[in-house]
Order: sequence, then structure tokens, then C-alpha cells
Amino acid sequence: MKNKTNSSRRDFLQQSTFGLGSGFFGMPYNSNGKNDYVPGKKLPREICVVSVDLVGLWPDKTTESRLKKMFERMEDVAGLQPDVLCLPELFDTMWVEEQKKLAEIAEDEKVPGPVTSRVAEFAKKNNCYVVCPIITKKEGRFYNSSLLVDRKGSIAGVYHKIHPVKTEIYPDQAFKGGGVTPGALNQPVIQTDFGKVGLQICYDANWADGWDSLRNQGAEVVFFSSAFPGGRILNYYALKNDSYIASSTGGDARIIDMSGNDFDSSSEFVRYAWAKINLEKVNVTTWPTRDRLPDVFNKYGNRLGIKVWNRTDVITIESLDPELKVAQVLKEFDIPTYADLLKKETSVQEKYRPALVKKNN
Amino acid sequence: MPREVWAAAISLKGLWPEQTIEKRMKAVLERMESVYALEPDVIVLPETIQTSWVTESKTLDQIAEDEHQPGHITSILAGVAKQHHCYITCPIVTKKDGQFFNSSILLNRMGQVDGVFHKVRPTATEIIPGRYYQGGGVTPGPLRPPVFKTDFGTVGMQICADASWSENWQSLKHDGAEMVLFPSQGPYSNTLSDHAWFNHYYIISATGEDARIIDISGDVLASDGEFARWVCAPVNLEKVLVHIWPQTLKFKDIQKKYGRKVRFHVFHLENWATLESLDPDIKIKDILKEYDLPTYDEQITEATQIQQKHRI
Repeated sequence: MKNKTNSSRRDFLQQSTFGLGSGFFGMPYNSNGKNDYVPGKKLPREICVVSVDLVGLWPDKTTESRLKKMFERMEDVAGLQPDVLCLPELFDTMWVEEQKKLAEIAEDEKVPGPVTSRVAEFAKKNNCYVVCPIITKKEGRFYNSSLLVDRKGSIAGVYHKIHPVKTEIYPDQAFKGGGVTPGALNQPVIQTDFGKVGLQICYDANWADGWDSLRNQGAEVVFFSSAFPGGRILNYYALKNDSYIASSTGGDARIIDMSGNDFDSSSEFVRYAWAKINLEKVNVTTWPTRDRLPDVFNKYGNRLGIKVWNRTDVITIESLDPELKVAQVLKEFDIPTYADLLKKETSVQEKYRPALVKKNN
Repeated sequence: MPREVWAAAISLKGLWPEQTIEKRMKAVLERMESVYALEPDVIVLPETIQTSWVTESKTLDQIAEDEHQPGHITSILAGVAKQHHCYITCPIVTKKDGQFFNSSILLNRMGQVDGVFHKVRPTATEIIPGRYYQGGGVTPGPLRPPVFKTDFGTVGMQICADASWSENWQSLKHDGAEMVLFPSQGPYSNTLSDHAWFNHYYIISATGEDARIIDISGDVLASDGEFARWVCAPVNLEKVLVHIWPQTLKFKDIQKKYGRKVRFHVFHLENWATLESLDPDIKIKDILKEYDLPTYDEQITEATQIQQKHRI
């Protein structure tokens, strides 16, 4: 039996069998895992995410010189028409020789200061959000922050780095004249016009608490501004949180899928990463979902994008049809999301774990 | 190496489906023969070794073995352990106090039972009576799994779906596991690597699809393949994970003093490094003390305390 995309059920089974090669269906990706570009066609919950790295821009002598080069890099990617552009941690002062006190560089969190104003101008001109990581000042304290500037150039939200390194915290160590205060442990996600986003900064990657908080609040994309790249740590959090991660660091820039796999990364030739990502998408487990997928595929064909990710043991299902919601498909075929399945299984385990065993825990 | 352990794992790939338990065990024992020449200290076998994907249908009661008096399968593998002077995981269904567990028995070099691990997170289809096995269900094991002291170090065990929950793995780390033995049906590719780096211990996996030895960094040190469905390689337990910043400045001094007697492996993207001793007379803890170098965990603990002190 042939379906709409000329893939037979047998082909599907052969390609998606546990442990064998992964199958591509619905064709949302090219062979590199990137979204295919279809001019003029945009899904309801599709956004374009771009992040730039700091490679080649450090060390630098002055903040002004740094800003000039960074804005040039930002202009280079404006043609991608990003919905969100993510910048690296302290992009105005990181590895800049010109030494300034925290009080001299810190900006207000509500009224845009000198750097934020320039970022806001870019955001407004390009109708996009920008993750703007700078030092901020609030109630007499300094924070290593990420401001989220919205499409109108206003500050939509702010995140304070929860886990600064000790040399940032102790007065006079990292900056002359003062120290950075660690951010609150539970900070809210920020609501945008496309969904909920969370922010994390650099050393935060070594603690799970901030990421757990974002997951519990339903963050769909996490923007990670950093000095260090993060490597496999970020892939782990993307899968654990069922969220996309866009990273912008001193070593690279990446867009990571919720399956824990890289969509795109910067390189020697382009110092940015980008992808069109679809928020109408979920992670489901390979087992037992794989047994139901042939029926799902036969009914919905290329209205869904289904991909088996063998390396991370998940299947992603996304809607490629504006009229079709993923939740509707999951309900129809009784497929739980990854998180829901674990909840159900945990509940069964708790019910059947004997009192004696529980007591001995 | 000072604490060198040769770990072996046998994949079940190509041995399923199988018709009878007897044929399965014969095939597994044949495959195990490939690793004996390397004199492994420990051999890991896949989950429910005698019954996974075996068409011969048996009730749990028929296949379950006592946890202290070796039954049929345990006796066979105990003989192998004794003959080859190695530890072996014996993953079978066991019975205790009238309940069935999906277990992994750790047999020591004398062929004796050193301990038993009960799968913490069986799937619902294993648990609910009548759904998976005829005549009964599997009981989930305790949330805090045991660790076992062997003559080479402290080991823990996890089985298959346990990989989808983090708490069990963190519990093993908390209790001092240096190596986790993982019998499974599914391979849990990157998931195992994540558990390894997150908890800084080695994982030796033997599954229905593959066999791997995973470093404390999460890197796969060795894996099976089309031409050999087993793996056997040395790992060094005299090894720690450190954060490279700001310690990286000390690395060159350590390397200068100890030369080839120690090895750093820097993971630039993650800002980690592993430091291991390659000399039986050099202990890692002595180097850490000499250079006031914290382990990764010690650094994170100290940083957390400083952050809490300054957080409003």
C-alpha cells in the first residue's frame, strides 16, 4: 500500500525498527536535519531562531569597538528575518580590555540604557526579539543578566544569572568596585507572542535547578548566553526539558532540537546558527509508540513530521498542517508524550511497589 | 594502571528471536567464550538473559530463581564465574517473599552470589498481572538501589527502563558507585552517556542491540559491532572529573611534574577535564591535595555555598 508520500508501510517499518536507521517522514528536514525553506509558507507556531557567537571578536580593546563589531554581525543575520536573535553573555564587555566598574556599565532593567537602546533599535527595525545579556542594576545590586527585548524595542523580561562563578560574586575580583549578586532560584518564564521562553547563562549549566524550574513552567525555547559553549550538557537539558535551546557563546552558537540533537551550529565560515523551529511538536518515547506510528502515518501522511532519533531514544512528532494539532493526533492514537508516559509508568510502579520495599528506601 | 579493571559486555544482537531457553543459553555461552582470553574482571550480560525474545512461553513461577540458592541459570553462570575467576551479572527473574523481580544477580569470582539488584522501574506491561507474563506480574524494586563492594571497587546495577529515570542513577552515585553495570533490552544510546557524565562513573552496558563501555565523561570508550558482538576493554578507576576553570592554570604544572604518569583529557566544549593516574604509585587524591585542585563535585558544592550566602 502506498501513501501520499510514496513510502510504503513496509518501508516505514524497515526504517523505524528499533535499533535500525532513522526514518524521515513528512519531510520537514533536509539530510542535515535543517528545515527545508519553503518561500511564503509558514506554520502557525513556526519561528526563526538565530544565535551569533563571539568567536573572532575577542579580545577587544573597548566596549565601543566590541559593540560596533557585534552589531555588524547582527546585521549580517538580519536577512534571515529572525523572530529571536540571541547574543552571547555580557556581549558588550566580555574579554574587553577596557576596564570599567560595574556601576559604569550596569543598565536599568525597565528603561533601556545605552547598550539596550541600541539593541532595542535593532529589534524594532527588524521586528524581532533580542536576547541582550548585560550587567543590570536593581535596588542597588548588580546582576549578570539577560534582558529580553521585544519586537517594539521594549524590555519584555529579565533574567538574573542564578549561578555566577565566585570570582564574579566577590567584590573586586572580576570587576573593580563591586560584585554580582546571584539571581533568585525560581525566576519566571517570559511570555512572548509565539510562546513561553526561558533564559539561562553560562555557569548555570552546571546546576539542574534553573533548568528544572523552566521545564516546570512550560518553557518551549531556552536561550543560553554564555562564555563557554556547553557541549553535551545543553543537548542533555534540551531532551530532559522537551524544549529547544538556542545557545550563543564565546566558542560557538547552536540551535538544539527538543530531541537533544543539534539542528545547526556556527563554524569557521559562519559565526551564527539558525533554524526555523516548529513549536507544534512533542517528544514521545520510541517504545511503545513505534508500534502505533504506521497507522498514524497512514492516516496523516505528510501532514505530520515524524522522526525517530536513535541516538537519543525519542521520536518527535510535529504538525506540518496549520489545521492539525499534535495533541489531537496523540489523543486519537492514545500516544502519550514522553513526559506523560513517565508519569503514568511512575504511578503504576508506585502502586505495585510493596510497602516493605518502600519502607526500606 | 593503578586501578585497572577489564570490563566485558555481551550483546544479544543476532541471538533473537530464539525458540527455547536452552538454545538461548547455549548461544550466549558460546558468545561469552570470545572474551575469556582477555581475562575480564567483570562480564555484563543482557536483561533477562534466558527469556528475552524467546518464544517458548513460561510463567514467571517457572523461570524465577531463588536469590540465595542458585537455580538453573544462576548455577550455569556461577560455574563460568568460578572457572574464569571473574564477576558476572546474571540478569534473570527472581522470586523473594512470594514476589517476582526483574533482577540482576552479581556473581563473584568464586561463583557465589554477592548481591541482587531489583529493577526499580519495570514497565507497566511487566508489572500488571497477566499482561506480559502469564500468571503474575513483576514487582518494582526499591527506589534506593544497593551498591556492592567488589575486590576492584564499588559497583551498582540498573536494568533497561531504569534509564528513563534519573533518581535511581543519582542514588548510586550518592552511595559511592564507581561503575554501573547495565543489562537491558534497549540500548539507551545517549541516555547512558548522560547518566555517566552526570554522575561521573563508568557504565558497562549489555543490551539486545549493543554492548558498550562508557567513560565517566560520557564518551564511549569501546563498543561492539558487526564483526564482534561483544566488547572487552580496560577502564581506570583512578580517575576523576574536574572543572577546567579556573583550575586549567594548574594543569601544566601537574603535567610538567608528573609527565606520562598522569593524563588529562580536556573536554573543551563542556569545560571539563578528566585526570587519571597511569602509575600504580600515584594516587589522584594526592595530586588533588598537592595542587589544591577540587574535583568537579567539590567545586560545585563550594560554588553553591558561596552563591547561597550572597543570594538575597
